[in-house]
Amino acid sequence: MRRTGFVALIIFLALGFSGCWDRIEIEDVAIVGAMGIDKGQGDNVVVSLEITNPGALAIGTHAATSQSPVVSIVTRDEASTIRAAITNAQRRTPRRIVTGLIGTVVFGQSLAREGIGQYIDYLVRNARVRSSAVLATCDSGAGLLQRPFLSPLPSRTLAGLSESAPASGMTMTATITEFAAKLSEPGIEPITLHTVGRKTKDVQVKRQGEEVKQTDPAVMLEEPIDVDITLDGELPADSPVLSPYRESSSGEFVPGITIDIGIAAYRDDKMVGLLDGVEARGYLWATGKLEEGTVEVPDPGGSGKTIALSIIRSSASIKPVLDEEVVRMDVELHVDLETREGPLDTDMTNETLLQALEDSIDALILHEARATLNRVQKELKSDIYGFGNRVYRANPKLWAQLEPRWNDEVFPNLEVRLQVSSRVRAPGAAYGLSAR
Amino acid sequence: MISPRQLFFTLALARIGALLVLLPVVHAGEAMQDAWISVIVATGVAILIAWLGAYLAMKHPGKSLGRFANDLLGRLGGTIATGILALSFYVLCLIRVRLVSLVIISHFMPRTPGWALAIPILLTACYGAMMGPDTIGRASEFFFTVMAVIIVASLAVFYAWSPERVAGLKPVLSRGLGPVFAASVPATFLGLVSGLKVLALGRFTTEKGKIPKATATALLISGLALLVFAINAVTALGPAQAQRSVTPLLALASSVSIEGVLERLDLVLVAAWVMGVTFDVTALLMSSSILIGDSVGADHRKVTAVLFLLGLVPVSHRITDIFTMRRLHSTPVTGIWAIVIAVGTLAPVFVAYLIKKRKGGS
Repeated sequence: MRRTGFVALIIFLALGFSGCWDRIEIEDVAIVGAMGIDKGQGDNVVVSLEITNPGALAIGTHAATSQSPVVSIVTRDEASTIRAAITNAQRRTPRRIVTGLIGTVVFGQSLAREGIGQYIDYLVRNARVRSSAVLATCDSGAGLLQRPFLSPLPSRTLAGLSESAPASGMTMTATITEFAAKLSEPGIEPITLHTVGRKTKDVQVKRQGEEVKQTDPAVMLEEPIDVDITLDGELPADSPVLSPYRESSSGEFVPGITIDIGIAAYRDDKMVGLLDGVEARGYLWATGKLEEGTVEVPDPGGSGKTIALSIIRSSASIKPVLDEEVVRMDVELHVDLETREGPLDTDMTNETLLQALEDSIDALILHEARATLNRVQKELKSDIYGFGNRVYRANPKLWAQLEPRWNDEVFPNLEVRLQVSSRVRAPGAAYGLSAR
Repeated sequence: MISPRQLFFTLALARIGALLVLLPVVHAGEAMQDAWISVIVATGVAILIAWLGAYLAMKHPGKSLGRFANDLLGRLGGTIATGILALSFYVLCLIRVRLVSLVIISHFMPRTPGWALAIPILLTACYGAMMGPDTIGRASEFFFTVMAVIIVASLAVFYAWSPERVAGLKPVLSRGLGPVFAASVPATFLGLVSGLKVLALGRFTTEKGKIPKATATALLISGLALLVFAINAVTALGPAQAQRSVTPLLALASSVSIEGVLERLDLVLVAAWVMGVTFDVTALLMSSSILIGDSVGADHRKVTAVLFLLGLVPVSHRITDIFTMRRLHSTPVTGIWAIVIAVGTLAPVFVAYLIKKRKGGS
């Protein structure tokens, strides 16, 4: 009896757990690698999906085969919600669209400035979108999906960028989880990776007098995208967004592979500004999140040349000082560096010179951190540093009083005392070289 | 018969398995950062009350509540006292079955009907309950070890690879004690019900003197696991985000992806959860069957079969849908439920036992 019951149970379980109701064969799925979300007409959103073609990836794009050489295709659909836009895309896609492997979600600036709360909710609520996906803000979400670089897939370019770009020391990444957590946590505002793409309407450009398509031939776009972007002077005049194709020395135009990268600062769910290059590094100094990068300072030996040092690690100790009438932040920054390049005759073991070098680095870090802090406080008015959260943790009652006017009144005028202590830990592989 | 060690494994494994994904202290009330204090309160109170049950089990060797309640309170009183607890076990069993099937469906298999997962799980529980405490006790040793390894490894991964920890645990009691106590009620109830399985399983336990210690230790260890889970979820997701999430730990796990090593930590946790919950519903169904069987003088295996058949409809019906789950695990519902168990089952039986003891009974 027991054995019969056991066998019956096994058979029943095998039927129940086979997943028959859900089965989708691998050749029947359209895997989405990245998603771009832009502002559409009125309150609509334009959702761009980079759908990969694993078959083409496996055989290589130049192999002589009947398999389509297109490694990915970008669909673009407009609807009032992301879900409806994806459903629209499904109508024209002969395979079932699967969003479970999205590695990067790119928001266009226009939409980001109006608020992305509802779209974050979609990403968090949808159990089939991984919360580890990286969020990025770009001039155009769709535009970034067209730009593969050192990888046939734009989504892999994006994912690789989010992993490697922080090594520049001028950006940091944020996942969906981190963004959503900062949205709900008091006294701290979210950020995302910021990447600069190119105007997607410039699909056709001239190369040596001939009209050619500048997107990678392996990537096809269903239709040209024309997204108007108001940059509000956020980007420098020579930004690749404004001049997406730069002439190379060979006379050919290089497609939009010049990637400027930084940090997009949000206030609640609305983007309020961009911190690019050194500005982003200023933010990373003050939050102690800089783990790689290069610092250049003048040679304290007086050669007039520059010494380059690489950052080994950094940390920041942020302590709120809360008196009855004063709210202040004391921030102590510690940075370890290693010398990478300098004038031949400079002796990196000379203690006087080393001290002067460290003083120069201290001054540089202080300048960068202060400059960014000033801009964030006075212009962006968004506490991306999380100073308010420190107040909340230290004194919840005081925070309850300050919270309603924190970003508009208190944070912009908050006294932040920065103290930098850098240490050049090693001279690299040589103490110094003698010139003839 | 099962040893006190196996009793400990059975009780601890069932509770950890049930709590692994749900985190009642994070969901209920507004404890927010203070959820960890709620865990401590809940664990302490649950241990105290469950200890009374364990003490009664210890003092009535070879009998479950179904029998000694009849001895102490008479047939009617004993049946009512036993029925309250047995029904609680059974209802919780059905809720858990439905919940695990719905979470799996909503996360991984959206077009699979609920019953397609719920019925096999209930059937597995039925089969396990029919095998009896001996088999379950032996299985618990193995499954507890597996679960412990998965949990420790997951925690290590959480700390090493999880997202930036946005929130801290401070400020302590910034909202006062009220929210902390409110959040601790569902966890207390769930801990209490877990611990009171001893009133059924105690009948099959050797070395009666060690029953209270095994019960208390099981609740303590599972409470510690809940504490670590709650701290992880609150600090990584932020308390508000964790509270909004149906399954905070799964949300946290899905944000961890170790390239080339472990792509889907959430799948590992779900696997462990399914294993733990299946074990838990088995223990709940078995405990309910033993209590009812002993109370009415029937074989608990037959009772298990009847309960399985009766449960087929509720676990397949939307009446126990995920939206209902939140209400069923809310502070008022679990608070009243806990009071009913304490007043309707534990208090009369314990008082009757004390009176009998004073009069010179066993």
